[in-house]
Amino acid sequence: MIINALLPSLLTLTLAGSYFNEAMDLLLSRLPNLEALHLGNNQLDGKQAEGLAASFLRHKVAKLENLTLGSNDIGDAGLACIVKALPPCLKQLYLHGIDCTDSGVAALREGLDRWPTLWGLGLNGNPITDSGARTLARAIRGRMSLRDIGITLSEMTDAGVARLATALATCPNLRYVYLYTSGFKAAQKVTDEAKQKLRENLPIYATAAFDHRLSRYLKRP
Amino acid sequence: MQLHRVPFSDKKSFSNVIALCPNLRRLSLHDCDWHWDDDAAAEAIASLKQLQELRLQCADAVSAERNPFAATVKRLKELPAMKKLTIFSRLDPASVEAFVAYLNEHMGCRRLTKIKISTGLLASAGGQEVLHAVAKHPTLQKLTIVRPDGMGEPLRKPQCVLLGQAIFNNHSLRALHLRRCGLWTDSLSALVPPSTCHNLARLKLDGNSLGYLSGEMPPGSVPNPPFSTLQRGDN
Repeated sequence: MIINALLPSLLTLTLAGSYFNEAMDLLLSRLPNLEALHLGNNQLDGKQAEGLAASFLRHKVAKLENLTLGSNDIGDAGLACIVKALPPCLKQLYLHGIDCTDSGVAALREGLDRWPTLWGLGLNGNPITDSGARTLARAIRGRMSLRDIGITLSEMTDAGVARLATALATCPNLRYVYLYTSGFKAAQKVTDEAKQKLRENLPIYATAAFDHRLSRYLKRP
Repeated sequence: MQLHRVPFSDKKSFSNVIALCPNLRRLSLHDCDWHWDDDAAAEAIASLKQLQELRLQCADAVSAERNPFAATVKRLKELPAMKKLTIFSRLDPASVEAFVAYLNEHMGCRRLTKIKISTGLLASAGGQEVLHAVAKHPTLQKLTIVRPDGMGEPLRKPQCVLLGQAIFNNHSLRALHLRRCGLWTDSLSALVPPSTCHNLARLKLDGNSLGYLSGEMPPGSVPNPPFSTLQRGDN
């Protein structure tokens, strides 16, 4: 009833998203030496991601090395804004389950060119197809810094895995590859044969985890 | 040594086991059956002069009725090598006071660099004093606050204001982790330190609800409360 009475005279309606952006903007303005920011699983949407990216640009975040945004509803548009705003010193970027599709990977590829020291990239649980896997494979080919990558792309098939396997074979410092084929948002279209080929192609010190329940036992870098 | 959900056979069994390991560096006590003698257990833990990491964890529902760590918390100052202390438990007012006194006695915990506490502890009577002590601790580098599993006590805005002041005033503090604390957009705004803070390098805010405003908005503020009100955390 109160809402009904208010609506005719309403001139401005600001929803919570903008408050998040105001709060985060002010917080970032007070933390010039921030190196790691974890905002996973916070129900952030694309607009809030765009606002976050604007804050990154406004306050430089020149020392930010680790950004975790997994389990938010950021989407491709939000991701594209975030990618443009991140500094060259970025080392870890975790984007698990953010509803990123092939076009998000295309935006990410531009970022990867600007982050020469990136060693951790997490894309698990995103609805990316073989086309996106191909784009990602081109982006990571021969990358010296890459050490840890999550490629549980839920719409990918064996063809995408084969592309990625070829690219990962050229990353000499690779240690861990995460490709879960069972469980929530897993790459369920990938067959055991493709997993076997991926494992055979990995650089000598690299390990692949195909079961999310066992990945915790992998030794961290 | 990790004792996770361990049933103690009798009241002395824990003390007897600890007596066999005088050089223990890490001890984790996690939701055991607490069928022990509190004073004897505290005596045993206090004898571990090389202990660097101690975790005391007890479900809030259990610790609300009986605090198994009351005697242990009072003897923390006897552990000179302590670097990392985790207390995931509610504490009675006397134990909170003892914990605050431990943190304020800087020489007694001069090696302490990491503290992990639960929102349940902060919700205990006198819990806010813990944040005041954290703000003044000279060696503390990392503060982690976690809400216990399930729907425990969230981190309130007045506590966030104190945390904002802590990260501003305590120049040794480099990492603040507020994971699964039930933070909303308005508690985030209360967390903003009063001015530029050059020391903080790592901020983890995973598993909260930062995308939303809480239901604690004042009636007069709908639909557009001034942001300064949110920031003060007094709405």
